[in-house]
Amino acid sequence: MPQSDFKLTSIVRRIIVQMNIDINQLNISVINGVAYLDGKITKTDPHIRKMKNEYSYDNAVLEKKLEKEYKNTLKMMDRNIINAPGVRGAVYKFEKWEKTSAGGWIKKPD
Amino acid sequence: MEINEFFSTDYREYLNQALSRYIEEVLKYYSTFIEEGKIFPDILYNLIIIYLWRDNKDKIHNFLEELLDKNNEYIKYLKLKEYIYSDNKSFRFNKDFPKNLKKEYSSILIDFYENHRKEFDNKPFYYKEFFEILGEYAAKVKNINDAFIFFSLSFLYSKDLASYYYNLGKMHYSNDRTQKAYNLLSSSIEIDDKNSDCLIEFSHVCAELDKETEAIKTLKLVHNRHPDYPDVSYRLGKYYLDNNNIKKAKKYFQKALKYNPKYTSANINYFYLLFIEGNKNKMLNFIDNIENNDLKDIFRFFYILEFKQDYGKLLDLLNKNDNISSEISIGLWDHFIGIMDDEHKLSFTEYLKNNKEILDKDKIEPLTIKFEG
Repeated sequence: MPQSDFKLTSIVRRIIVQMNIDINQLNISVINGVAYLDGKITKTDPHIRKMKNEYSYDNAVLEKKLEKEYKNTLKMMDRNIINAPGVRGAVYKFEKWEKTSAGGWIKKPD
Repeated sequence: MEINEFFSTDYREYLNQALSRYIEEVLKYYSTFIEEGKIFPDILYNLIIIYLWRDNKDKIHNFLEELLDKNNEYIKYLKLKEYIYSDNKSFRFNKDFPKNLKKEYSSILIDFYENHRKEFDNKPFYYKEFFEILGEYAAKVKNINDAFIFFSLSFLYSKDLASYYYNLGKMHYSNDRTQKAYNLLSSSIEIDDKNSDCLIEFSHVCAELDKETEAIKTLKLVHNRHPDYPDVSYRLGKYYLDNNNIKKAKKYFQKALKYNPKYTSANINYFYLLFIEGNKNKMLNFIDNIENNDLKDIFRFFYILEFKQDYGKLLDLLNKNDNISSEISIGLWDHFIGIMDDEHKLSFTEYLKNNKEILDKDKIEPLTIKFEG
């Protein structure tokens, strides 16, 4: 029996919470089994905060490190969402990030 | 970690030392928000609590001033102000544990308190909030056992059992212990059904456990108090849509859009209901007022395909907006496709097949697959 969108929305939300992504800045929904996320991706975990402290001396290095960290998070988030039972696919409309057709993530220019 | 290991002597010693490390880490964690210019009231509030522990008067007063500058109406902030300026800063450690708390738990908590007694008794303090902040931090870094201890300490000072169960329930839920989360959150709600965050969390747990009726009852409770929460209205709308109650679904999507007109999923589902109704004027008016251009294009696409069959315009839209065919192929728009006239879909796919040069192959294929069913 297919899972209802209502239930799948809660599953997707939990996956995002588990990744320490701020759900207050996202709209999370599931339509026809397809996860639909739009808004801003902000990681709230202490690891990111530590990184910001550690590399505060050089903005370029920090940006590079953060970009890598966000890319890994988005990749993992996408994988976890797609692998959730009942989810058929995912559409992401993030302010600063875009999923490429090859499955990677690129940061949109400011 | 097994229960015996959890309450081993090593762990007790570890915990006694962990407190100062946590304080340091939490302070660094929240300070980076301030350094980044993210001076949000909740961040300031938490920092004040930590600085109360440190007894850093300068920081306390600076942050308090900034906090009240941002919001001097919220009762929680005003209470903190009153507390800081009052002379009577006492606290009470109460060893009455909830009846269902395991004996080993109470023993380790009392141990912890005894070890820090001198430190605690000399520091008049907002203990409930302090330990909650540490607990939330420990949960964030996935140190679940530490989080449990801190939440328990928070409870011992406040005797706020509803809050205690809520914090533990939330923690278990984000660690995939859904049934445990259900039990804790429902216990919290039994004591206090006014905490909207707890009710919302509980509604998600219920949804995952296939307790939809309970989830809806809970969401309605929140909705009655906060009709301005678009997420809650949206979820109610989606539930009714999934269950074919079009009238109620429409009512709730309208409410979601009233408070967040840019809510994409609410727009998609509301337009879908207009599509079912088939009122062209309403649909066109709705499309004209949509701020999101991507959505505008795809709504136009379905509108034209169903009601106008103007293939030139459809091709323009498909060429202009790559998302239309990719989103159709992934299944996001299946509910629209499912109610459209078969003849309209088939004649458009025939047209595409006969004029392959006018559109990329990558865009034609998903449309033909979906439209031909």
